[in-house]
Amino acid sequence: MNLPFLFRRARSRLNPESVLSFVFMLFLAYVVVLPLFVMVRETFIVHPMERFQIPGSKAGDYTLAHWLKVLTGELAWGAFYKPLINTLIVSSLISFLSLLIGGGLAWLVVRTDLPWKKLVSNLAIIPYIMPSWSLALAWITLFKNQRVGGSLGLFEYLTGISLPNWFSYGMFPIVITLSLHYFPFSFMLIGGALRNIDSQLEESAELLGANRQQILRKIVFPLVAPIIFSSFLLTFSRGIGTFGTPAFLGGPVRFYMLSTMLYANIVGQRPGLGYIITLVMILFGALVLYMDQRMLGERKSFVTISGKGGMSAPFHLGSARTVVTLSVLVFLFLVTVIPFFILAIESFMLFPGNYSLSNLSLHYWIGPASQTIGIGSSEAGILRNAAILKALWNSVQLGILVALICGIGGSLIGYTIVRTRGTWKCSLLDQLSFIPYLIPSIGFGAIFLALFAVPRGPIPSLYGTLTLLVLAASVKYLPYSTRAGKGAILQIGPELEEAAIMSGAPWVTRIGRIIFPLQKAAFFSGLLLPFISAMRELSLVVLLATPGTDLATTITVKFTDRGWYPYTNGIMVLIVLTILLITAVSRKLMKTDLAKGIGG
Amino acid sequence: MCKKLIWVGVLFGIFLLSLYAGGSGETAKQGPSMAAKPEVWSEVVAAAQKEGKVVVYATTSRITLAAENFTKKTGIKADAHRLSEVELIERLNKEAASGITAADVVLIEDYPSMMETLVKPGYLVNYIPPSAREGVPKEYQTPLVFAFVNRIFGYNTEKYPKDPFQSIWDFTLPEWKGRVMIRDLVITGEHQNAFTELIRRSDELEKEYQRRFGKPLEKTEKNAGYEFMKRLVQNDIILMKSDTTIAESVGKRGQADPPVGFFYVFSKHRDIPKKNLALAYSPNIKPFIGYYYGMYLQLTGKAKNPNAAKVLADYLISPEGYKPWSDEMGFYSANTKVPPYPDDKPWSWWKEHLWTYDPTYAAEHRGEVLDAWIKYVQKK
Amino acid sequence: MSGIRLLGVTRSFGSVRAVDDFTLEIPNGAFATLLGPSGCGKTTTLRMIAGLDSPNEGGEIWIGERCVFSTEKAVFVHPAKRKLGLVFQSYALWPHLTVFENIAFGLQIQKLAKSAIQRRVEAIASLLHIGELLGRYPSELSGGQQQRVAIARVLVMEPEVLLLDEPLSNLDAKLRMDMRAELKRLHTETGSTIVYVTHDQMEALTLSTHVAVMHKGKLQQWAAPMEVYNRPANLFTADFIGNPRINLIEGILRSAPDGSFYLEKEGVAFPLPVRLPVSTQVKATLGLRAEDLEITPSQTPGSLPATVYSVLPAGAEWYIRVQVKDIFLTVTTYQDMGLQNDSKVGIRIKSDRIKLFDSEGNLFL
Repeated sequence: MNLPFLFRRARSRLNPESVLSFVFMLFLAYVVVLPLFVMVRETFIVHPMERFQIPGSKAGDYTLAHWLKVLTGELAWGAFYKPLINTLIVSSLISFLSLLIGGGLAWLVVRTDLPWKKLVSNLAIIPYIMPSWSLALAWITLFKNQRVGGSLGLFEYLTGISLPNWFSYGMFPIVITLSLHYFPFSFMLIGGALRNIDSQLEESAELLGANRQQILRKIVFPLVAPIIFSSFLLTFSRGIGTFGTPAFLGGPVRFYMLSTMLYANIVGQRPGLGYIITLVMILFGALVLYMDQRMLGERKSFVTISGKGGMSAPFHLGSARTVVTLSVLVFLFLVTVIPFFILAIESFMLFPGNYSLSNLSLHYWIGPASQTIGIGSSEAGILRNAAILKALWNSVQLGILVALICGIGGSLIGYTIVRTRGTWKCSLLDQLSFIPYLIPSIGFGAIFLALFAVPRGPIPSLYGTLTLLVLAASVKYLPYSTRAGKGAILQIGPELEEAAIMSGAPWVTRIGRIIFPLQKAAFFSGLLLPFISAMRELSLVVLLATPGTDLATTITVKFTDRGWYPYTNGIMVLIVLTILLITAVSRKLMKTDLAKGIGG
Repeated sequence: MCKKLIWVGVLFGIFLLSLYAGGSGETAKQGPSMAAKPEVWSEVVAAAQKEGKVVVYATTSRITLAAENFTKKTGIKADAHRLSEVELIERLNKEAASGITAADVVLIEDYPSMMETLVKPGYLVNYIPPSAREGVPKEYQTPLVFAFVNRIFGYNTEKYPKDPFQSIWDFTLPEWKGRVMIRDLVITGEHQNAFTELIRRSDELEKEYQRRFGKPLEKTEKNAGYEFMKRLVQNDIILMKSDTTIAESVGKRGQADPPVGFFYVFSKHRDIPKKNLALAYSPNIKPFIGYYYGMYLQLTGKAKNPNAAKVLADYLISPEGYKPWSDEMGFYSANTKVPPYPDDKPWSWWKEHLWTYDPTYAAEHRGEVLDAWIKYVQKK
Repeated sequence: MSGIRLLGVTRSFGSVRAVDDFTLEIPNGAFATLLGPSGCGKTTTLRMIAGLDSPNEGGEIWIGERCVFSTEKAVFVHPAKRKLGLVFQSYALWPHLTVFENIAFGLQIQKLAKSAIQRRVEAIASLLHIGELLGRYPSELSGGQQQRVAIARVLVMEPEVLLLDEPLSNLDAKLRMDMRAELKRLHTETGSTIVYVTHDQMEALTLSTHVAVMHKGKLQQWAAPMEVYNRPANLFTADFIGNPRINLIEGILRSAPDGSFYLEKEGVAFPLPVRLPVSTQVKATLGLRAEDLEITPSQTPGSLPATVYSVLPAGAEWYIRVQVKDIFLTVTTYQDMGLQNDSKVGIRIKSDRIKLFDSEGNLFL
């Protein structure tokens, strides 16, 4: 075998997909696999503050002590197993509830003669857009009880009824608020599946004499079952890693979950323990993914691709129609508009807890920094506050950059995966690009911190830079974009590109003149989700942001910690408004559809 | 075919570059390290003027005001960053690990946690400016104490016209079940340090129990300190995230059953008139009415503006620079030349009635304390 | 000179060999059809000629004097450089481009002058009678029109070889007939080599100069249409070609006392007008096309007794299904014989165009 021959052979086998796949594999290996290894290694190392509890050790030693402590020590129950059980219970309940709500709404919108479908669909997506812990904040504002003293919660103020602890804090509100936050996800996925069922499948059953109920049970439901299961699992794995809500609602009653324990350990200078918890979370995430794959296999694609779903006759709600419509609207109103207004109102109240009209003020919005007005925070009003405005701008910058990187990267990776179908490159790339999804946000942040805060090879330390945040967020959201990209390319089909190949078009031309124009709408939709996610992200960035790179979300944590809720709520309102604005604008201009963005 | 490769290579290269270029200017260069030669103060000041700027990190929000005053006075631009205790530690550790030195001066809490990772390796260095040499007692010079901060126990004066507490063990009694608020140990290292003192002096706690209740303490944990912790926590303690919120929650008027505050920062009492709080601290609790810790002033080893750092340090320690803090209670300058706040007891009084902790002991045992805390905190 | 040569081409997917050691030589200017049922490997073979797919277990492909693929010599010529055109089964028209833009695409890639592009596109459009459609979008066209656009797109590049992947399968029957005529005419007018993939054996017979019958990745027969029709190389080919299906009778060859031979199955003796000596007492299969049989009144000497099972009028001919003992045969007649179900008739082998296949299914007579 001589060199020219080998070279020629390599060249003859070279095509854009191969090159792209190698590039992406390398990149993903570096930002995803390497951190995992680093993290696993760190769980066996003694860190400076940890050495005191490991007799005779010094920093840098290898040790099994962390593992023993987490799994078997006398503290294992309190520090690990109980939070683990809490996490599993909460995640299961959330998944179940959000499935019920989301699936139910999806069925009502897609399959019945419910009026105002457009309004319902639009409203139903909003809870997902708002930061996950905004509902938690609204809950506290509403249902705060005397346990934490201070000003009255709105409910107690209005009704005088003092709510029990289990209602105001802990598992109950955590499950409710997170379910309400995640149900849009199920709504979009199941709605998409229902929409895509080939009507002929139902019609043939109808011709054979089956009634509506039987058709629903025996035809529709089994067809949609894989998606139902899928959305249950996906919500479950999201639930494991969420940090904000458990932190807000669990603290006052000492209800801990894995995510809050993780935070505690990382922040407490005990990364050995913290990373073990992260690994456990990842393990569950992987388990969930495995089950999802087993259930779905390749069948997953058939529902989205055979999009010849004509509409079979809608289910008539009959006499129940008014009641159902009213309930749906009231419900949606309660979970979208009301929390928003509660948060907004707090930001206009000069003194917290004083709900009288005379207490309304614009001080927290446009007032000057003062130690005497209102809560005297020495912070300028939100719209005049340099730090807050910069943070908001950082968030927007982050959103745009991440959207672009994910949109383009996800499309390219999706393209590569589809074009290398059947080869080892395809499956490897597919797996690699999905791994970030498994790693809970807060764990991901910790890993990235460990990896990129120090110089590595040619890449300098990224600590304190916006780049670090952009990188972390892009990689984290890549799975969604990749899925969307895959879906879009599959819809186009290989032949349109092959025809272009035959016409002599080089790769760049094919992408530019054929592929991209055909999936423009899907592409822009695929930009929207990363943008929204980045703008409302907290768990991922809470460990990575520094004062110079504060984001709108992380800066609210500062204000919340010090009890300055008017600012927190006001910023939250701004974040939501910004997101809604951009969503509406992009819809008008580029006809984006959020559902397409998650590959649903 | 070659063209495609070039394209891909270019794209990838751009990507790599963007990572590199995205770095903040902070990674540019490091300043010279502190030399240990006898200094001439006028030279230092002149050099500081040339440097023109200084960056300070602190956990106290009044640093912003002090920085402004400093800038006005000297013309050297002071850039102040306020971070929470854990944030500051995290940030300094990360910057140290990445070889960045962004700050010149730091006002830090939770000294024990920094001893290992920041002080010993020389990332932070101790510097005694002229004002400290003149005014700060020798025992507080190394490390240089900027101020002492006390954390006390507070109650609502509307509901309790008289101080309801006489012993630390009162907090474990059924009548206070579910009404005691404390900042979560997990997010504040200083609490962890403080509790190590309870462990260290657990004999005194045991004696106090005997005094208060007239019978010996039945221990289910290895010493009275841990026993106290356990009972305190399992008396349905309320974990909070900020002392400001604790103070407000305790002092708000019009409550039927207000909570009480455990170990929150006394300086929050400055808000009493403004927020109309009915709040007072308990001066009668035995064997201590709270704890204090030092807020230390350190310079960074590789400060970019070392001379400006020294000048700022000197300023902050001096009575003039300390002004933003001396107008209120809860902060006690180590500099004897600083006049005490008139509406507060003098430092000497506080020192007698408060406990503090031993940094080395604290560093060694706080992990244990944190673990115990987490264990007790879990509901069975 | 653009004949196409495939030498030992093998393409497998996992453990399945889609194309198995395929060797073929298509002369320049031929209309070669790859014919076979679905899954036989014909489309894969076409794609390998096009360069969209490549043999992964050896083989060589030559177009004209040029080797465009060789595993051994590590040669791979990019599809665009092979000077061929491919019409996809689904036409693969770009929905976001007009008909004009679709056709002009390849010329634009070559960076021809706008006026030249205009000229050539219009010329080809008028050749294919789609001149008025140039401003429309593919979604606005009928199936037949779309197909012509697909062909135009390919022809405008003036390729030496034209590849067509089941181009007519999406059209309705009448249109199909029309398009067949068009394609045949196109072939004679352009003189290019055409490789055509279809599963419709009628198409293959009417259009091609050469037919390659494929089954499970292997080449069954490569010959002119009439040869494949009259002398199918094996049972598969015989069965696949011809409408209605050939009658196949499995039995034992025997010799009669008078020196003639017959095939015996289940007690029925089919006389064979065999002239060459063949061995007897061996298993063989007799192939009789429906038109090789005729219906005689019953009891006619030399004919086998049979019963009419069903009568299928088909316009110009009748297909009569008859039953001889337990054997079913189809016979074509060209006039209305007024037959009813269950009438008794006689069957006679009309010609000497019988086919005999040995126990392995290969033609030996």
